[in-house]
Amino acid sequence: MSAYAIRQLAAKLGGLLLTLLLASIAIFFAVALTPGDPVTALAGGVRPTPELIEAIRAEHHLDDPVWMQYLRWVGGVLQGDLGTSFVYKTPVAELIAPRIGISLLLVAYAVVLITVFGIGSGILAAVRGPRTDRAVLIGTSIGVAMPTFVVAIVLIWVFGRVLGWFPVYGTGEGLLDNLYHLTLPAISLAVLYIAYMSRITRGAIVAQQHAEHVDTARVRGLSPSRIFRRHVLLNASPQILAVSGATIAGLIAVSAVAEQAFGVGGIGSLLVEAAARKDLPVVQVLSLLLVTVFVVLNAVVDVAIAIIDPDSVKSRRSA
Amino acid sequence: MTTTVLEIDGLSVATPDGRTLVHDCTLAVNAGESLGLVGESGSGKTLSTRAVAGLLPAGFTTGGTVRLDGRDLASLPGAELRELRATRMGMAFQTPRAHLNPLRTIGDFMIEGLVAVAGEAPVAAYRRAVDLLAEVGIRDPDRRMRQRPGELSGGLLQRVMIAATLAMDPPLLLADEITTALDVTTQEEVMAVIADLRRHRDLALLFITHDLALAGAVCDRVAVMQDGRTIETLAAATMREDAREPYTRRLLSASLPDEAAGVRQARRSDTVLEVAGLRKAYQVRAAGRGREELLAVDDVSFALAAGGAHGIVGESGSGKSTTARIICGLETADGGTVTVKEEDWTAPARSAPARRARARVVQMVFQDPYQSLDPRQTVRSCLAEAVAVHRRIASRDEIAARVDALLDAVRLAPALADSRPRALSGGQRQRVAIARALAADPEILVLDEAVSALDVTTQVEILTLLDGIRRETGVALLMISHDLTTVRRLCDHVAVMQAGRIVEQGPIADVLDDPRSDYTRTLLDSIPRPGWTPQRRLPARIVTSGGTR
Repeated sequence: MSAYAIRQLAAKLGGLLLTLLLASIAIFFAVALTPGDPVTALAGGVRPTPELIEAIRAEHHLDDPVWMQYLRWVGGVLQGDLGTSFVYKTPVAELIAPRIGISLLLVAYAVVLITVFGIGSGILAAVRGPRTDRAVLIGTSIGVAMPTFVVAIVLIWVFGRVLGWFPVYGTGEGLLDNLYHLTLPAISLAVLYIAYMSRITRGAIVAQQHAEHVDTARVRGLSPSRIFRRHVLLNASPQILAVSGATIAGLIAVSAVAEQAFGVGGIGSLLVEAAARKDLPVVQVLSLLLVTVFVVLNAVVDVAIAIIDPDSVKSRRSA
Repeated sequence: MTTTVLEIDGLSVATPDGRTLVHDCTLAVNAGESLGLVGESGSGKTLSTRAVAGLLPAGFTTGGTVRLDGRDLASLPGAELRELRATRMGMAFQTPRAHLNPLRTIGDFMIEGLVAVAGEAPVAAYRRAVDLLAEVGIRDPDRRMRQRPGELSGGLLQRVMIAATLAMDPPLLLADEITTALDVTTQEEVMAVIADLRRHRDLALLFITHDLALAGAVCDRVAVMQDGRTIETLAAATMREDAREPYTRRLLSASLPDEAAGVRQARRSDTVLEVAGLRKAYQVRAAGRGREELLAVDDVSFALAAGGAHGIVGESGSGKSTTARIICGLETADGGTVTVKEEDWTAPARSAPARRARARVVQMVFQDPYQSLDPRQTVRSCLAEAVAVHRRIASRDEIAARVDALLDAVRLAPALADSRPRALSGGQRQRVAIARALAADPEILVLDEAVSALDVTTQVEILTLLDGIRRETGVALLMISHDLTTVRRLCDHVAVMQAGRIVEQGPIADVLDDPRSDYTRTLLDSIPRPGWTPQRRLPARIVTSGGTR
């Protein structure tokens, strides 16, 4: 790796850290500025006496200036102390730990579906002639118009009620049972993105198929499959990768809907629940987690693209 | 007995919706021979060549026969056909930058055919690729093998492309406008490489070009195509005497390299534009560490008389376009002054009204009329918009009358006013672009390679038009070009630029007929003409690894 590439990478890393810092500020203040007094949540349903309010405010440093509260929070997060839930009175880390696995499994499941069916159908649409192209176009047109909660309702009715093939609630025990339970949630999560990735993939490949350098490859007698792999797919991949990165990162946030619909106890449903009950420490940590995953995933994708196409990171020369 | 490597007999090409674009292309290329295929764009020469190479768009149908190495292409099954083409012919294209995969190294490109088609071991293929690069005159082939197309100049890439076509030792090379996108000196280099290769390898060449002078200089015979038909085939040496078809004669007269420009209007003494000590530097990434300065424009001074025509010639990277862009306010100079009508224009205009006021004085016409016009706008609306910008209070009727006058000024039929650019030919589009520039009633028209993308016959039409407009309206022309021939047709003064500096300037006849600088002489020598042989020269400038664009 050249010194130039390392500098680029270092700049990228610095940008990433700065993004996270800004995100943490935005998250903390947005949550802290929401209307309503956290004391109500902390008192846990009982009508608090003035002494109790006083005690709660002191315990949670609610009378400190907001920026001190922020520094205390960030300092804690950096040292691994994610704070304590207002509602459950347990450390936030203990609330998240058992749920994060199932959420990651759900997202991974959806990513596999999106990659196989989204990119797969996009490739087929691009290479298989007009009939397949049309069929995929119709399918994806329906797909992009189906939000997760609509798909969830349809799936629950068809596969849960009418056919009874898949469970529609809970997560089950053990990996295989987990996957069995997560099938419908994963599909409901993936449908929209399958359609979207299919369109992106098809477009990127068709553009490359008509690129002039593909003519050069053809006239040199390379086999169609080699031309497709080494000249069409390779050159289309930066665009497909860039969109995939943003899509997968977005999935984690959207998974809340699927988790709620199918009663999956993941971090998505935890976030929805915590927001509803004004459990601020949980909301803050989960938001920060989502932002971190989003930013890191996109950085990874950028590096992958830079490996395929080194020119993509070079500053444009003006001469 | 001579063998025929390529025989095309009665070839026709039709689109999926049944329009026939090539009616009858008939020609034969003998072993070791070079045949030029010339015609204007749209004459069917490129489509015919693509039919031979198997590169027609999906759904296109062909008739007639094509024999490569004596075998009828229509009779061969897919895989065999692919192999025949891969081993018995090579093809090089007009734009090497677009025709090389930008994501893969030159090395990958060079050995791919050898490894994937001929089944050679990668190590042997690598060695052979290095030899081939050396054979086309690339001096540090090992380094080039590791680079990507983006790091090489256009001339180098074209050599790489030619070297790659030779990997299988084909007896035939199809060359589709391979030098059209190159500078005249680079063109000479590439043609010299081709001439060497043909001598050493007994390579046959089908040379497709719109430049009849070039074809005549480098080919044994020339076939002329018009409207999808090969109308006549002539011996190159005697084509000027033998040509029978009026179309061929028209092409020949358009490509006369040294036709003197008409009588010049007496120069008025007042200067409309004066450039003094102009300087522009770019920060570029150095070959090693850090950054270094590239002087794109270095101490450039010249003056343009009112109603005069001044040319700036040079190769790409010489700084001529940057100079023009500074004058038009598209770039900011680092030093020197630009004076227009005794006003200092060096600093960019600060406000929109000031910019508009400057635009009323200087207008620019760009190289590519395909890109400089909005594809969704009709000719009339494009011109009306330009008129409205510069005369903001004009009524609808006045604007319409002005648009009609502009169309008339550029000799465009009023019937074309409601067409969109897609329906127009390259020459017609460039007329629209000129009309749009004239809408402001400018005093200076900057032509940045304004005819370089056009056919020779269209070039002559546009140059004649521009000359007429200059006489009628007294607009001064500043013509930026890499082509000395077109500059000679239009300009009274010329400055020759090399690597950011003016190496020579003066009245056109003095500079071009009696050049004092070696560089001007090199430029003049590399123009194809009867009896011309391309030479390999020492490069006029060092091509850095960054290349130029």
